[in-house]
Amino acid sequence: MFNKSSRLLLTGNEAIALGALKAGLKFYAAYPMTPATSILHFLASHEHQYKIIVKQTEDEIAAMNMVIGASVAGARAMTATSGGGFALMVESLGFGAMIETTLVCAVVSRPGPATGMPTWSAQGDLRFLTHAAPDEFPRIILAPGDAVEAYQLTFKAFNLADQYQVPVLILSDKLLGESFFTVEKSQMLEGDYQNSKFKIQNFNQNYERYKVTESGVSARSIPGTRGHLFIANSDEHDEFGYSEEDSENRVRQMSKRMRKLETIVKDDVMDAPKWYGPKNADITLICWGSGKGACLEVMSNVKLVNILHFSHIYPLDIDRVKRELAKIKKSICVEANYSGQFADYLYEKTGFKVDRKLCKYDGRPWFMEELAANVNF
Amino acid sequence: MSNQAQTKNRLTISDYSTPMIPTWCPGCGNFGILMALKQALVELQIQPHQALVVWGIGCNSNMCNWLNVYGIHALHGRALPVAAGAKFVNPKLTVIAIGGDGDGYGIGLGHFIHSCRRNLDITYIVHNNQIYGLTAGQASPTSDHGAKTKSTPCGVIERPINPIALALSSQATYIARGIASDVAHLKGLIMAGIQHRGFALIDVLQPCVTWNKQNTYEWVKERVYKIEAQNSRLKAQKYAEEWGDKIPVGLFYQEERKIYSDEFDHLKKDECVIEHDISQIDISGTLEEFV
Repeated sequence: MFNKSSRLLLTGNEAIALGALKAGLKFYAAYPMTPATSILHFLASHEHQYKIIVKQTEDEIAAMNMVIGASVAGARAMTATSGGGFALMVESLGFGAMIETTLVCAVVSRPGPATGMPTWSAQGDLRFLTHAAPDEFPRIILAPGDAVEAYQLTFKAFNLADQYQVPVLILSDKLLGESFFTVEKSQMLEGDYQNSKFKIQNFNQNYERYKVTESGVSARSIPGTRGHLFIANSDEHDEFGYSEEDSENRVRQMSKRMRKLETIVKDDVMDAPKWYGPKNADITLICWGSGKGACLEVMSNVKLVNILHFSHIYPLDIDRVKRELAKIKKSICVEANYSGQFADYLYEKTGFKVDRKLCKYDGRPWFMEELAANVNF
Repeated sequence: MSNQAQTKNRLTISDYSTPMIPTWCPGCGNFGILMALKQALVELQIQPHQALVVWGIGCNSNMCNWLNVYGIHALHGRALPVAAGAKFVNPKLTVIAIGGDGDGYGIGLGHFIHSCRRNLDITYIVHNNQIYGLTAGQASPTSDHGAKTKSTPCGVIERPINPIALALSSQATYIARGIASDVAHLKGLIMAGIQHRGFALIDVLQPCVTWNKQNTYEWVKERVYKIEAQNSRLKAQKYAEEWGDKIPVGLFYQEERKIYSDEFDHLKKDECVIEHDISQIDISGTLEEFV
C-alpha cells in the first residue's frame, strides 16, 4: 500500500536541523541543553558533508554572540537552546535586533522555571519569547506543529531573517523535538532559497547601513566589501552606525526598526492559522505549536469538533486572525502551560476570549483520552 | 563612513579616521592606544574594509566611532565571541577585539579564557586602567588590593586578576603587555599581535586620569621595564608573576601553534564558508538516513 522508501521516520529536532541545512546554514553554535541538544549532535555529525562550522561554546551567551558575529559577516547562522539557555541569550538577542542582523534561534522548551523538569515537555515559554528584551524590538516567532512544519518553518525562518533583518525564533518543545514522526520524503525537500531583497545594488560613497526606509529594512553590506563600511552599534546610532542619542534620531531609528513588524504583516508572510476538520463544528479546539498532534487525534474520535492551529505566532496578522476566529461557535484553547498563555495572547491582540482553557503543566503531553474527556461544555 | 581609502595607493593615518571627535577625557590613556592601533594598521597597510574591529562596552569601546573600519560595538563583555563568529566564517578579515579590564576580565572573563585556548587568529587589545571609567569609578577585577573606589570606600578586599598569567595558563599563543604612553612600543606589540597567526593578547596599562588617582602615568612610569620576546613558558611565568615595584612590559610569550580552524579536516586552510553557494543545497542524501 505504501511505498516504504518514500516515508521517513524522524524527530522534530532533526527536522529543524534539516530545514537549517537546506536553507544554507553555514555556522551553528550552541551550548548543550536538554531537550535541544540533539540539534547540535545532528549538525555536528553532518559538518563534513555540508561544509558547515559547528561550535560547542563555553555558554549560551557565547553561542548567541558567535551567531551574531557570523551573521554580520554574512553567513546564515543559528543557535538552539531551551528556556533557561534562552534566558542567558536575551541581552544578546536585543543586540542582534539593535544592529539588525539576521539570526535564527530555536527554543525547544521544557518545564521550568530554573532547572525545572529537563526531560519533560511544556509550552511555558511563549510569553517569554514574545517579550524577551530590554525595551522593545521586532522579532518573528514561528511554532511548528509537527516534523514537516519544523522543517519548513526553519527553512522559512532563514529567509525571513534575511529579508527583514530581525531575529527569528522557532518555538518548539520536548514533545515535538524528541518525538518521532512519519513523514513523506517529498515534504522534506520543499523550499526555495530566497536571499535578501535588500542587497546593495550600486557602489555608494555615502552608504547608510541604517538608512531610514518606509519598510524599515535597509540595504545590508558584508564586512570585506569595499566602500560600504559601517558600525554595527549596540548603542543607539544614526544611519551610518555612529553612536547618537539625539532625540529625533532616537525616534527615527526606533520607529524604523519597529516598523518592520507592520511590513512583515503587510507582506503577507505570516500565514493564517490552519483549520482542520469539519467546517461547521460545535466546538473548535484552538492550539499552537506541538498542541496540534493531540488535538488532531481528538478530532478523529469526537464528533463535531474542529481545530484552529497557529504556527505563525508573532507578529500576528490581526485582521486575518480575527476573520478566522469569527467562524468559531464555542472554543477551547488547549495548551501545555499553567495560565493559558496563548489564550491570553489572543485576547490581548484580538479581543477574542476563548470560552474555555485547557491547561496542562505536569510535563506530560496531552493524551487523547484525557483531552477527549474534557472536550465538552 | 569615509571611503576614500580605496582610491589612494598608500594608506595613511587619516584613512582610519572618521569625522567624529573623541569624547574621552583630556589626557586619557585611550588616545595613545588609538594612535598606536592606527599606526599599526597603516604600517601593515591593512585596508579599512578588510579590518573588522569588535568592541565591548566601556570608555575604550566608544572608539568604534573614531576608527574607520568595519566595526561592531557589541555588548559589555561580549566582544570576543562576536569576533570569533565573524572570523570563523570569514578568515580573510583581519579581526581585532577591543575591550577594557571590567569588560574582558570581569563580565567577559569566561570568553577570554576560552578564546585563549581556542586560538583563533584574533588580536585582543585590553585597555587596562584598573577601574570602571564609563560607570564613573568603581573597582575593577584588576584594581590593586586595597584600592579605594566609589564602590569600595574601605579598599578592595579581593586580589587582582593577573591577565598575563591567566592567558599563559589558558594556552594563549601571543601574550604581551604595553603602556598607553609609549605609543611606538605599543604599536610594535599590536603589529606583531596582528601578524601572529593565533590568539594574541595585548594588555595595555592605561591610566584613567579622572577616576583612578592611584595608577597614574607617573605610577606606571616608575615601575615598568621592558622585556624581550620569550618562548619559554617558565621564564614567561616568572615575568608574569611580577607586579608591584617592578612591572615588566613587552612580549611575555609567543608560540607557533595551529589555529583552531587549521584542524578542520573538512575545510581548506582559511576557507570562507560565506563564499559557498547556498542557493541549491541538496539534502536528499541525508534524508536516506531516515528511511
